[in-house]
Amino acid sequence: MLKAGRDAEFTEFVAARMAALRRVAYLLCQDWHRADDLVQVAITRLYANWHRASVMDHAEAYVRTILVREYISERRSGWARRVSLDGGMPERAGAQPDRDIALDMQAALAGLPPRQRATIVLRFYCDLTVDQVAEVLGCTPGTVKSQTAKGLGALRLALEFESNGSATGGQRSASALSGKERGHG
Amino acid sequence: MDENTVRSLLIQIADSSGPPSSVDVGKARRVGLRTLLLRRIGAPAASLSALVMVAGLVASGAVPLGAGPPSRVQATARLTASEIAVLTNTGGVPRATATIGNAFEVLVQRCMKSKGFKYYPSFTFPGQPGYPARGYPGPGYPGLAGVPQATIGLAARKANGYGFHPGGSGGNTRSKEEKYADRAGKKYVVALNGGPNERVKIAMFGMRGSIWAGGCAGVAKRRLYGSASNYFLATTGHDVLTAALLNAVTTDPAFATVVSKWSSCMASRGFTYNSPEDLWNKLAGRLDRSYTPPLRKLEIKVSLADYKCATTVKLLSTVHALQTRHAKYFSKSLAGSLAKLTHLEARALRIARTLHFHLPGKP
Repeated sequence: MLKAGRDAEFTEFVAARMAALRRVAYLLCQDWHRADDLVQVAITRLYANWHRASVMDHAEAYVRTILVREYISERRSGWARRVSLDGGMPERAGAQPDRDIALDMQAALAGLPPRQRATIVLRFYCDLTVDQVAEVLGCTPGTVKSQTAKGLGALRLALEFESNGSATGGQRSASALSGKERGHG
Repeated sequence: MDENTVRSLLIQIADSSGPPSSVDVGKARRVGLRTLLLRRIGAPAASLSALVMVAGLVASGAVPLGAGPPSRVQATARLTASEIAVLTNTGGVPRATATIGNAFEVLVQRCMKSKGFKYYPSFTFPGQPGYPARGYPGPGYPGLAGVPQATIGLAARKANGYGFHPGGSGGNTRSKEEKYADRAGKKYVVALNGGPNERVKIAMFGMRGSIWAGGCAGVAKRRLYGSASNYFLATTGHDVLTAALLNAVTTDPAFATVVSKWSSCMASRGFTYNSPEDLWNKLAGRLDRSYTPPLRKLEIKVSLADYKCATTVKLLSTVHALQTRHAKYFSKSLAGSLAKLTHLEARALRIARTLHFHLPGKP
């Protein structure tokens, strides 16, 4: 009946928000290819629910919720535990300002459990409030607060370790080596 | 490291140059449409609609799910026989629904023509299986809870299985319309739906937002239903009400029992499926990826085995009885919406009958 209009509206929305959705997906899964797969699933579901999403004031929030929930659900599956492409893809060639710390942050982020990672991304990248994050993740605001605190703590710990390590890299290597030697000794 | 540092680092990571996007919007539309069709045919009303839409609405407290055993705290209302019939119809598209839908299409077509555009109407016929030939369907496709294939008869199964073959859902016509709309560009969309300023706000079933109310579709909505929000109630509202009922049916223990019997019967014939809906989704997905002559034979074979098993275990009559039983315990608020919806449909039907138009031959 109104399919042409519906499709045009959907395509226009997706085209406008594609880059932002990819970036959120990338922050969540740390792999551009997986990010594309996540976005693909999210927009497919969005299309099937477009008659509802299109009448909402914040269709983007709706699709972002689909995206995050799909990511968490996927990470729970056995397939995600068996197959992980995290960190191994040679796609970080772009020159960036202060790239080292960004890479350290990326590694630290990858070390967080899925829900903590999603909480950090939603809170600090998507700038959602605690209540909004709770709604997206389907948990209580209290859980969001504790997940945020734990996530930030873990990131701080990882980045401090990295910065200390790079400042005294030689010493760390040496002590690590000596430890190894002791272990074998 | 403070929150601002985390924020700026995340932005830095996200802005890193990635490979070109491999997201395929066309594929999303195709697969999404398939899901939509499956939902419209009935199964989805039990699964996706029920889980996503109703669960969401119920969770938000917007829609009190009245279907199901009567609750002490929730007032229920007894539906009239005609209202139950609206919700439990399993005989394909009702005549009234087809008449209203076709009138809508004709009104849009006439209006678009007056604006210098072509419009390819999507006509439906009474008794046609509950999925639309193409496009976004109107109301009247409740189907049978958890049995999307319920409306497909034996003769149709012998000839075409479930009708999954390419073109069975009018794919050619759809692409023709799509191509035309693409060529006509934004002017076509504006002529059809109106501009962004012509949206009207609605707040219904816990949903708040705005819907298209302008263009030729807006003209048709107002002519048949009185207003765009009435149109919304008659279409989306119908889905919400149906999904509320079908959700109650599929969570009834008697439903699980009859489906289990059906599954055993299918297994004895060499087909392993957990439920009729599971069969439908798996087979549709498989045939969607590739449709070869051996798969066509398989589709017909499975559809016939399904028909025999459904008859043996009295699947359809059991589920239909469950729907009727649960429809008796609808919450008062949903029953109120249903009464309004029924009234709106009666009004739309009266107006539709005054329009004189000629339909093309039945496909």
